[in-house]
Amino acid sequence: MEEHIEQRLSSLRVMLLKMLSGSYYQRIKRSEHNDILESFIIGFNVLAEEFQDVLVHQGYANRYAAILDVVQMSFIIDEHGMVEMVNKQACNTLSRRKRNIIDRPFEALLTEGSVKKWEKVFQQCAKRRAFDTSVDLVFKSKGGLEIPKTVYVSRYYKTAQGYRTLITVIHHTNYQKKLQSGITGKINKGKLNEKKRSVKDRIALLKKSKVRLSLEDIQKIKMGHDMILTNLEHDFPSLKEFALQLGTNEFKLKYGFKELYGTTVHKFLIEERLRKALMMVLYSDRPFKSIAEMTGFKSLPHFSRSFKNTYGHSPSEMRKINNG
Amino acid sequence: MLAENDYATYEIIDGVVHVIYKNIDLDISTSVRIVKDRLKLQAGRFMPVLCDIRAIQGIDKAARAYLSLEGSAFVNAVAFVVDSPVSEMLSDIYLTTNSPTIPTKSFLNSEEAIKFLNRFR
Repeated sequence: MEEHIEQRLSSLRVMLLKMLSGSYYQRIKRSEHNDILESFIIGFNVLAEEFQDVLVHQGYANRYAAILDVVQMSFIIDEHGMVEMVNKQACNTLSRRKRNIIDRPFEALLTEGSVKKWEKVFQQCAKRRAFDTSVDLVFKSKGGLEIPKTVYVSRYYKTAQGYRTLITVIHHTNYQKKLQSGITGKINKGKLNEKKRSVKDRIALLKKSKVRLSLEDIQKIKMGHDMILTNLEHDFPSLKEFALQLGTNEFKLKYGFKELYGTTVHKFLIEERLRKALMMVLYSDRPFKSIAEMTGFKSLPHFSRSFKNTYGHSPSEMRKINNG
Repeated sequence: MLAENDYATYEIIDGVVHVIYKNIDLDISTSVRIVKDRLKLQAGRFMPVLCDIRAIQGIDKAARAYLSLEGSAFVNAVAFVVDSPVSEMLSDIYLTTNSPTIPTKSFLNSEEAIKFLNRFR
């Protein structure tokens, strides 16, 4: 077998095993070859991305799965770009030993493309006393996989030793997982322990925990989501009727939609109508009355009001601003 | 009328917008630019769009989401032209994960793509 095929098949294998073990943040490196194997590599990377999204979004029906933002990797870099400190999680995530990271350049952990990006940011950093920014970088793991992350960079002054740069990488996970991996109460448990819950809230939470959405329910809600998008210009029926059309009930529709999409059906409807309208306002000369009609608003004043509420400017102001 | 940016070339031929993508990786910022320039060319008219994606390297999730919504502004229908495992996979992924709201189909050559799009002129 050709070397590049063996290599890529081996990356594919590592990736598959990683995903089976429940980690979805790594990616297989893309190559120049345009063959079936490459198309599978693309497929796997996209699959991992989708899984990652599901995890952040708490998956489907959930119980007390509050999203935790956990520090996954942190580094302290000195003025020359060398790693002075690295946490244990970073070593695990990158599959490298601590001694192979400390006193080595931070860049050595990044892919080629990211090295350039990093150098730019680091140079910018060096010009100021205090500096905060974030940048998307891709790390290289030992197994030859890539790990794209949003990296938070913060420069500070450490007396007698000069400037230092703190790099933090956040990882989304859920409460259940964190319990399993044995991290204890130091982590912010999110909304659950925040303030004293009112009776109303407690009942709501209880109701929530009793509702479990089946796969069929989720399919119906997704269909509802798509139906809204393809029918923005038409009148929207009552939630009860809509739920009936989809073959479910109003409660499941309301609850499921919120779980899946993080917003209510009506808010989503208005947002999408306005999103479509924005494109028309910015990129065409159509009269606002016709835009309002094409996006399902009952009247021009109603349209202008909603538009201004969401985008901060009326349609005419927005068009003027955009056309300069 | 012909136009071009760093990411694609655009031409309107017989009422169909031909967008030929260059050898790029699509992310949200490139997608925004690509859509903006196409809309400038169309000047508020609804048209079918032919997307030649044979040279594209990849497209991330944010770009796919943007293209399936904002990227469908003023578009009647979309036809992709693909010719290789990579481009076929990319169009398949887009079609399955982003359920576009307008008629969208993939073809192995431009002629068939145009035939499909002509129904929407």
